[in-house]
Parts: sequence; C-alpha cells; structure tokens
Amino acid sequence: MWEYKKFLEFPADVRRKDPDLAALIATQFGGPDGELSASLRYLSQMYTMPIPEAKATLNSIGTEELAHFEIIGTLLYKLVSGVPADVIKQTRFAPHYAKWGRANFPEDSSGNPFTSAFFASHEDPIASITENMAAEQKARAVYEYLLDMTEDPAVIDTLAFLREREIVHFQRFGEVLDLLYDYQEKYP
Amino acid sequence: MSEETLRIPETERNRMRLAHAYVPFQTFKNAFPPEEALRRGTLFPELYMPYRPGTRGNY
Amino acid sequence: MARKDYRLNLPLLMDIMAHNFVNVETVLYLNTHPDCQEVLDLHNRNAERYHRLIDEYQRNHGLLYSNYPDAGYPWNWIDEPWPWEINYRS
Repeated sequence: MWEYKKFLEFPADVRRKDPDLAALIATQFGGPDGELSASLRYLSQMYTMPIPEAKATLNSIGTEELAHFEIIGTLLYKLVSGVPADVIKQTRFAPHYAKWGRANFPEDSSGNPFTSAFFASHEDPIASITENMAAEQKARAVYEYLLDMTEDPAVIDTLAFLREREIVHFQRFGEVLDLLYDYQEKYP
Repeated sequence: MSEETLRIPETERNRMRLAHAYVPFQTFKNAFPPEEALRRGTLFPELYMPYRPGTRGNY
Repeated sequence: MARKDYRLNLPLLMDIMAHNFVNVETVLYLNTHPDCQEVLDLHNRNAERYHRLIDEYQRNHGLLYSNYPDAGYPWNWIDEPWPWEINYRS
C-alpha cells in the first residue's frame, strides 16, 4: 500500500504567477512523458518481473514518480492560484480555465486528457525495461524544452531537479537490464 | 565528467553482445551532503549531469 | 486535554526533506547493488538521523505521518499549510 508523507520531495516554488507557463508545464502532469504516465507505467509493470531487483526498482521509482506528480501539481497550483479570470483570459491557460477553472487536471500542454495509451506494460521484461529507459530520456528532453522556455529561477530549480532524476532513473533501469540479461543467460 | 567515468572497463566490454543495450554499473565512490544532494537532484557526484541551455537546435 | 500550538518549522522541514531525499537515492542504489556494504551503512546512518528529525517535528510542529503514535489534541493532520501551500523561500 501507499502512505502519504506530509512534505514534498523537493521544495517547489515560483517567483511570480504565470498562467502561460502553467499551460506548458501541464504536459508533465498529464502528458505522454509526464509524471503520472511514468508512475502508472512502472507500478503496472512491476508484478510480472522475474527478478527481485527489477520488482524493487519499479516499485521504488514508480513511487517516486508519484511524488514528482505532486511537485508538478504544486508548480501548476502556485502559477495560477489567485490570478483573476480577466488576466487568465489573455493567456494560453484560458482554454483550461474554460473547462476546469484553476483546478489541476491531468492533460498535456494542448489540453488532451491523460490516457494510459501513453505507455506500455509488457510481460517480456526486456521490452518493458527498454521502454522505461526510453521514457526517462523522453522526459529528460521535455524538461529541457521547458527549461528553454522558463525564466523564473525558482521554477528552473524545480525543473532541473526533476530532469536530473530522469538521469538517475535511466542509470538504475540500465542496471536492471543488465541483471535481466544475467538472469536470462542462467535460466534461458 | 572525466574520461574515466565514461569508459567501459575491458571486463565489461568482453561480455557485451550484439543487439543488447548496456549501461555500465555504477560503483560507489562518494556522496554529496544531504542538502546539496537535494539541490542537485542526486546523491552521487558521478551522476550529476546538468543541462546546458542553448546547446539544442544545431542540425 | 491541553491544546498545543503546533506550527510550521520550515528549517527543520527542509532538513527532513534533505534526509528523505538521501533515503530515496540510497534505496534506488541498493535495489540494484544489494551487496554494497558501504552504501548500506550510509543508508542506515541517514535513516537514523531522518527518524530523529521526524520525531522532533511530529512532537513539536505537527504530523508528517498520519500514524504517529502520539498525535496531539486536537487532531492536527488536517492543519494547513499542506505541502503545496508552503512558500519555501521565505
């Protein structure tokens, strides 16, 4: 089961309200390479992994991705909370406001809702772990695109943290892949 | 990042097969203090690989 | 029952977040390196410090886990600020 700790993994802050930036960052809340997609991918795949290291890694990283979902949710909340509707009306956040107001909703930066069609969960462990390594690289790239479009130093710190986590996760999945090769050689 | 951290050791290369993806196993060297680890996004100096903006779009 | 004035202690909370993060990292490392005594020792040392900080926080500043065995009266798990409401740069 899961238990909530009443603090964030990283102290996510913003220097100023910015609904335009929120509309872009939303893609890491509910987009194809976003944190919800990452979390559900790993937490779906873990059951059928043949070795304990793979089960543990998927469980731990899937759990951490939920904490990242909360960090992105915090950025979105802080970027738009209290901004008047007539200001929002002038921004790319206006279509979101028309549907949901200022509430967070898992969607990409164009407003397409989250779907599990964003990811795969294969019984073949090599297929799944290789998918995950690609997923970490895609998320790293998206954080770089977002960093290219962000000037707020507090948001930059948070996006840079999340980007670095993708690199560490890639390393761990790479190690799991190696352990799976060893396992398959022993038990072909 | 030093040359040493990038190179794959001889023993690793010998067991590598075609059509397989490999990431070298990390060996622990040292750790950042807790506050610095959180700020950088990793506990491990050898995995700290920050983004350099403006390096994209050259093709 | 005596009421206690629990309130946010940001420096202590940030220290907890830093030690929690070390735990995130040592766990991921140990999952693929279960035989690494050195990181296991680092993990245990850090976890001990983490639990001492958590205990100090929950005794004086409010719950961080809803199952803390000595929760004060009245029930303060519901107290604001929630993590997304805190200004970490103040």
